[in-house]
Amino acid sequence: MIKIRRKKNNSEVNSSSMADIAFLLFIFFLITTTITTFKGVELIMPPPQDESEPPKPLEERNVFKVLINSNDNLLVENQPFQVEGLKKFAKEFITNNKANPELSDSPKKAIISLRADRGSSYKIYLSVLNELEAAYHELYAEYLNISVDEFLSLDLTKKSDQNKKRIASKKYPWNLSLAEPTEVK
Amino acid sequence: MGRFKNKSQEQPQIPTSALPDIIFILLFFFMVTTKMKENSPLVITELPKATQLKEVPTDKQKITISIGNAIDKNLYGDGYIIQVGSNIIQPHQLNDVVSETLSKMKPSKRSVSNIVAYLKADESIKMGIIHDVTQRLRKLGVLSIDYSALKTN
Repeated sequence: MIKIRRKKNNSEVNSSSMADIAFLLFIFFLITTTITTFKGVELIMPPPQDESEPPKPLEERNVFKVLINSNDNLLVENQPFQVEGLKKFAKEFITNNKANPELSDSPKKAIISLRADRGSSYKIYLSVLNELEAAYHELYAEYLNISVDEFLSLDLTKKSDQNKKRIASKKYPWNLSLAEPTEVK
Repeated sequence: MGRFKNKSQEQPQIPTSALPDIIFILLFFFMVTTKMKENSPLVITELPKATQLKEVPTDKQKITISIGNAIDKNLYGDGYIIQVGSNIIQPHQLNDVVSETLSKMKPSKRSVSNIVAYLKADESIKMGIIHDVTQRLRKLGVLSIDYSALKTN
């Protein structure tokens, strides 16, 4: 009898190139994807002023006045100033606690007044704002016993981190007065 | 006497049949987590530099406002323009932008206090324009502003 040998049929799809194809797709996505993070300098504006109500009188010593003119020069507490030293000065002002009669009574009473001319540049405004934020953030971080970077990366969708921020900003409330800008002359 | 079989001469191979699956899973992961950019920018925004950067809380509704000079100068002229979404707007039109954003939000969270204005402004822009935008937002009750900036050390 004749034996018919049947070839064992290996009917598998050749899938060795699948990995390559997948890799190509994968690399394509990796390259074309840019991760956008929404990061920025946060500013909470004071609520809009009620025009029928006269503004509360403020004690001169409790207001930290920062003015920017159209030449991008700074006037801090009536003296010409550089952006670089602003953080230190602001911290001194906030944590003065009645020591120096020129500076604030207490952190709670301290008010930062920021006023920029309409002709000043956004760049200088943001660097000033950044310095003022830095002053507060350093105080917050010190108070919470964490580093500034840790403070900045607090996740405000979490309850525990929210609490931390609330405690810190209770101690050093960010009282900001945004004066209406002056017109360009 | 027992004989040992000759060791096969074939080289042992790493099984690679699962490799495509692994790569596909990675690929799908990236595809799912990737959000496509909705609007192409119409303005040039050279962001200023800052150190105190915070991430905008993810539970807040963002309004991205780009301010800068137009990329297409023939169409929009030489001056600055304000872009929200895919539209060019004037500061007074922010009323519509805010009310439209509010209508998109979940009813339980529908409040201007849950809106963050994410301001992407060119560093050469003058403060007058920024003030026009921020003061308009302030009047509308959107008090939370995030000034987009690049991180420096």
